[in-house]
Amino acid sequence: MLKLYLRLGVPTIVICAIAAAGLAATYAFTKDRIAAQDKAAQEKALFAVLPDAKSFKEVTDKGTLASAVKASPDTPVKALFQALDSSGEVTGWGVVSTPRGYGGPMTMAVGVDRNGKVTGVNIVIHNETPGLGTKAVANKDFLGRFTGAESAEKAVKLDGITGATKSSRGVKRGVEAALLVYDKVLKGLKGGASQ
Amino acid sequence: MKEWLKVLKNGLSFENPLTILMIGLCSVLAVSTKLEGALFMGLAVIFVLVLSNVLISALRKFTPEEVRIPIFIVVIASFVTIVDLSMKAFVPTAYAFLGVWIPLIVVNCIVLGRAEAFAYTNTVWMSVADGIGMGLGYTIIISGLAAFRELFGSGSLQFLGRTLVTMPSWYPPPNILLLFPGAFILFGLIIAGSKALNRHLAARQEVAK
Repeated sequence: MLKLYLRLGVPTIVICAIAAAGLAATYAFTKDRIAAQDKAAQEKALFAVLPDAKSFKEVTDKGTLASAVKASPDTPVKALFQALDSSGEVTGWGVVSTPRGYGGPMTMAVGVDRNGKVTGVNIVIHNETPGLGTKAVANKDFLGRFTGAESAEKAVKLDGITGATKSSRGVKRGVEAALLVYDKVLKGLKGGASQ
Repeated sequence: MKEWLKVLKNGLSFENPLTILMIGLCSVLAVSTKLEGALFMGLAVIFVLVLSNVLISALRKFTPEEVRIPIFIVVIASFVTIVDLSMKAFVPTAYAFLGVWIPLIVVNCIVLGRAEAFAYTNTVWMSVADGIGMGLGYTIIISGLAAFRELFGSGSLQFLGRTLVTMPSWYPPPNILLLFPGAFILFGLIIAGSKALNRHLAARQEVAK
């Protein structure tokens, strides 16, 4: 019996150990680059929705994040960013959420200024059908319609794009989430002072 | 060498994994909406297929028959994870498009199928030929299908951020080409075409004999 275990077990363990070593090496080699790519993509998305900002600071306060998640019951809110101007003054907020599109959740950044007006909408990661869903999520004209929106209710009622109903709805849900979070959480933060 | 080339050519024609063996089709139907994505998918499959074939063939005397399937899966999953991490780090746009289909190469029947049907009973050198042939057979079909669907379904063909060809403005791109029914219909036509081609090739071989 022991002989059988050894005959089957030893090769399996040796191969698994080699595989684990290979994976660890690949992970160590690519880790920094992946983190840099993610950060660059996020910054790019934030600058696109808050063009006046000079830099961004992620909100790390757990209480604020928890109430932001609660403020938007339908759409998961993933992260909040403060937009800072050159003197370090808060000029607005970036809300990153993951509303459902046609091809699963999309990652979306929405900029809101200090008065609660949407300054821009950007879809960071999506898996919508090229030529159909992308008519909504990659359409500057459509995304531009939300600029200046102040009311979550009205934003949801804006016209979607024909042939991209679910993708349009996803975009609207993301804008709704950002405005709800602003209304219920960000507005109340004292002048948006640093956390 | 002649035998080696024959194994390689088999993957492209008489044993093409997609049109003849008809395995690994889900990814082909799902990611063939953009040429760029399909090409990277093909490269990822070639990489995993060749390397897992090589390793499984090299380890075949050391692999007990009773536990060969778990060992195949460990080897394949490791190479897929290596591809996954590398693509995430170096080609983020293609990675964003392919999404879950890269990790799903682990369960792609072509890779496991070739490990079991070929690499486990053949030499390393022959397994390389099988991996390249099968991988190229996969890549050619998925890229061709993707080029057609992208050009005629969305109106233009793009590659690495550049537009290669644009359809004239009077052409209204039919949405169905980009949806799954379009993929099924086109793929059916590809199968028919390759069957006809293979029959023609086989007939010519007969004559040559």
